[in-house]
Amino acid sequence: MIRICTILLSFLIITSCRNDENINNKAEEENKKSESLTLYTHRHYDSDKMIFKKFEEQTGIKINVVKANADELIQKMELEADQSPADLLITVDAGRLVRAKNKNLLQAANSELLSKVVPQHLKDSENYWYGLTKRARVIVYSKEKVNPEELTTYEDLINEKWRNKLLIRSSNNIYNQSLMASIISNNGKDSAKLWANGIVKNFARSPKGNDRDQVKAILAGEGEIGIINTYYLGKLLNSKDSSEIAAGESVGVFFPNQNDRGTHINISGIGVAKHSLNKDNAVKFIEYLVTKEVQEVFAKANYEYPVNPEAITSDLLKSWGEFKEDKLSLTKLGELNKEAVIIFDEVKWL
Amino acid sequence: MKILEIENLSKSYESKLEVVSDCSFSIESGNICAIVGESGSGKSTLFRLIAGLERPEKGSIKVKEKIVSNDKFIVAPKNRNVGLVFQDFSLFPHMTVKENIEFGLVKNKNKKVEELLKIIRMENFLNRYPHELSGGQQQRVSLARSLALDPSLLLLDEPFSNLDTELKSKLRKDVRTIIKDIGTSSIFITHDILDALDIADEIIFMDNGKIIRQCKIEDIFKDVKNEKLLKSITELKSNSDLILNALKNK
Amino acid sequence: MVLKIKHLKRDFNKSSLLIVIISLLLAIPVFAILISLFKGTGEMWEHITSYFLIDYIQNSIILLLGSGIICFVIGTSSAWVVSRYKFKGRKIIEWLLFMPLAIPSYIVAYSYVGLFGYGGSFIKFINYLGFNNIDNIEMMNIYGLVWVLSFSLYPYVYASTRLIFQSYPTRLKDTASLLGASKNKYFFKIALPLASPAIIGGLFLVFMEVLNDYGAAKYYGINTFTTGIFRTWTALEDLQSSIYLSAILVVLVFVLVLIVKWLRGRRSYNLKTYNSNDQDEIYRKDLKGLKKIIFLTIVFVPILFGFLFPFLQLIIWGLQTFESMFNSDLLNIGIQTLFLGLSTSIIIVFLATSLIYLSKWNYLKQLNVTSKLATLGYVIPGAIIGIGVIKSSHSITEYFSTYHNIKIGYIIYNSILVLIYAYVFRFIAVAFNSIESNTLKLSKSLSESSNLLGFGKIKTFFKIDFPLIKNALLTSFILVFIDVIKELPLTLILKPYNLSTLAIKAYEYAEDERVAEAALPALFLIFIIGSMISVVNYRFKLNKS
Repeated sequence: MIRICTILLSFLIITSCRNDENINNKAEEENKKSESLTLYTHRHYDSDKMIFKKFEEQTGIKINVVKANADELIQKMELEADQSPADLLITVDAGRLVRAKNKNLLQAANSELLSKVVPQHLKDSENYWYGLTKRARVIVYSKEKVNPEELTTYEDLINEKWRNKLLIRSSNNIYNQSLMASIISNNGKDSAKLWANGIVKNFARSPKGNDRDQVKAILAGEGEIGIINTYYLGKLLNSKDSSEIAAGESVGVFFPNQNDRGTHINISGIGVAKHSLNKDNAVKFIEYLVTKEVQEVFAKANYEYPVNPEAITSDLLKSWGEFKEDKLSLTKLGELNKEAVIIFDEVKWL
Repeated sequence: MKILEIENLSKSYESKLEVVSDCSFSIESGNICAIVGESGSGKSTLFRLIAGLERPEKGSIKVKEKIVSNDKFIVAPKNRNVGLVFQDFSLFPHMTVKENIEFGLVKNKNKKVEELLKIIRMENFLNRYPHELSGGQQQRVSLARSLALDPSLLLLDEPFSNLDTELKSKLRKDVRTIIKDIGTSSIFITHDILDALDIADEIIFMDNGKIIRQCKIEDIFKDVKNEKLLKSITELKSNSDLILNALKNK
Repeated sequence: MVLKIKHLKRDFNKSSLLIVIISLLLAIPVFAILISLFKGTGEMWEHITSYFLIDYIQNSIILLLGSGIICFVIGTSSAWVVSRYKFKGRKIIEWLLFMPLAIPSYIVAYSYVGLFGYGGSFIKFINYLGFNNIDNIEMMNIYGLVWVLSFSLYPYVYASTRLIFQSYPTRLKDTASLLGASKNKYFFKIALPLASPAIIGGLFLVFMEVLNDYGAAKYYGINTFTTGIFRTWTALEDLQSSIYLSAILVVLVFVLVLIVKWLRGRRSYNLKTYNSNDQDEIYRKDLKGLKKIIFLTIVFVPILFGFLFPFLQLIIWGLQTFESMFNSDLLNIGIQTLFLGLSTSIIIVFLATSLIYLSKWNYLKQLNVTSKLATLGYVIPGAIIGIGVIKSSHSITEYFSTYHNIKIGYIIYNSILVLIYAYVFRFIAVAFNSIESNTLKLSKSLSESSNLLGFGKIKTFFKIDFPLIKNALLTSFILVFIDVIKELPLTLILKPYNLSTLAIKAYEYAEDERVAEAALPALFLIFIIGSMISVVNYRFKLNKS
């Protein structure tokens, strides 16, 4: 009996302490509100942590990070409304930022520096969000079996010569949705549907796995070409596993549509939360993220293309060569995302 | 003095048929009463109602002329001073014989336990666990545990059903002696009329949740008009006799 | 439902009040979701039903049936072998058979591809042995998913069935053989049917986990009901329809629950474990010859596919990334995970036990229905619970800011309380079911005897029930603990910024296609769960001697 009482008692003490601690924390935090920034982010890279830490050291502003999927973060901000602790939202695609803006969760962050550094097509027209890094969705091909001269555009991938040779992941993936949105925007809805249909016909296998798995399947001969993000190829080439490196080395990178609109790109981007109490610091933080130094860290550690034109890309990115990017307004990608998914469902692109 | 008075008592489970249906009877203090009936006739439920383990739909129960249960309020089992020995004895498996018997006691634990162990003749089993005892021993411990609190009314649910025949007749006498010695009033359930004839002062017959007859043990065969009852009494008796005789001849 | 309350005044007590209060408090998210159901389906509903709903339901059914059958077969057969036969290393095997529970199933899914996919470790191994023509064993299809889910979830069946098999008295077997039943007949006609409530209970947990799986199905490119819910929410931007889909799921599960109830209700066998003389040590037979080989295979196969293979792959990855991943940060997160898991599980077991006993002590049995509401959380997809919980806490903060002009939003949204509350809602059913089935095994007359001997309900609980169910409490504590520290979607949405768990850490890397980096946090998780399971095994051993 005594034992039970002690257990219960200690349990009560633990929980109550825990509560006090929390409330104290919050109270303190309230005081410090102006000296910290709460970041809702979909990015979870170790390199980011170093970047944040450096910012803390430089400015004394503490960065609190909440990591989750962008959809969940947006939902969270929506429900938290004016009492949301979020100061900034970072996503790994433009669509979600557009959605956040449309749901009235962001505010305009005007800054001379930002307007100068971030190219027009990589930010919101009203400065509600800015791109931080770029990822190109490219065609990779088996160096052994495919002559890159046969490759031209995304549109050409529905050509019969690629029947049962094309590898791409599931349509649940946001990068595929963005690519589809760009096709709709450039070619119109009907021809986009035709395109999707043709792609499905050329599938080497039912869509599965992630971008890395598509490359491995090319090495194994299950298909000959694939559509993937450059930065996953970077990860593959820098893997600790020799067979992954071999897979990475077996494919070449081809930037499609160089003779017309350019290769489809997506961004990882950031916006200031509507109900942020620390807008000035938040803008300061964004400015910091697009500085040349930080941008080069992104490029080096994470194989992403910097948005700051002055930043030097990593050797690996250089080795794939310069390319012309699709200057389509990224806002369009967000707006057409849903339409893209509807087409996927209609043509049974799993 | 009446130790127990029951009026219009009814109980049903989940709106099925009434298990105890409009029962009324009373028992004089100091008596041993047997409730006889087939299984499913509502005897056990009646017991649980008296002990306070179930709540009646209708009717009242008085113990020692005090109301313990009616439509408006209900006295918790622990405050009724009613003892109940379950059919499965319900000894606490994680406690020794001693711990079981002294469970309900507050003071004079050792003295009382000693006394009771003497009465049930199990002085040497103080530190045994229930699973180390025979069925008969478990029953006696269970009886002692209930008696420890000096209940004004002791209920015994099928006290002899789990025992073999040899032991049975001896134990009946034991139980009667123990109960009479202590002087408590008692009711027991049985489906064997021999048990009733052997130790009870009066007898209640139950059928389908109703009380069909209550009488002194001497008057048991007087005025029996209910055919079913007569049949069951004679059948029960002849059955038991048959088995006993067979065993003796062997 | 017939609400016939005759003696409201007499029968209403503190327990009745408490059970209603606790149940309703716990069920707030259910109401939040219910309210949004009244808004009808969303705009994409027609698209959903005409294009993918049927396919997704079909896939879910294949997954449920497939993994149900496999879990049943390997769960019961391995439980039978370890509880009936003697062989070297049985104790370790018993423990290892639990271990697949320690690895989140999406991690198992990744490690299977890491083993058997292109350039996989197992493939390299057999190539090294000379089989050069094999470069891939295809896992990423629906059968592979059935395989992965089955082998990572069978322990639910194994655990509940093993307890029952071990509680069979020896005389049961003796009676059967005296009646001329062969060993096979004994197993199929007596042992197995008697265990069916436990098997059904275990299978139910398997089904819930299968329905809740998101990570593994997504990676393998299999669209299930759950991936459909997410697709509707995130890609089709129709939260309303996705809540509607979840509601359908909940209804389906509810039907499943009713079936389980019905099956169980008709067969609630009373195997009194405590009250008879049957407590003699279980008699285990020796194994010899061919039978030995077969039976050892039966226990070894699930361990191999459910634990050893994925574990091995995780070790390989863990070694590859050890330098970059092993640091004080990881240790810190491990400690946070442990603390979060322990405190949450204590609260959950406490609340579940309270609910069970309050409904015993409450005489207005009609009110006990409310406690069922509180245990609905297990069947609702984690992410939807997250929305329900945020919506509920949103109403609370709204209330405070409108009527009292106090802004508690910052406190609520950034504290661990909301997360713990959500865990309680999500997992109380796990504790509830396992504790309830154990209290049902206790003879009612024990606590009633104590009542009659002058003890009130609470004292009786501590003196009689608690000592007799403490092993069951510990077991349910461990089950909840494992579930909590593996939990993903809720933790992701609701955790405060200063908290991270091993599961989240592993997920972040896996999501970013860096599975090798996810290995170390996953191994840490396995280590914690493994030691928890050993603690339980050790305790049981102590209690027996």
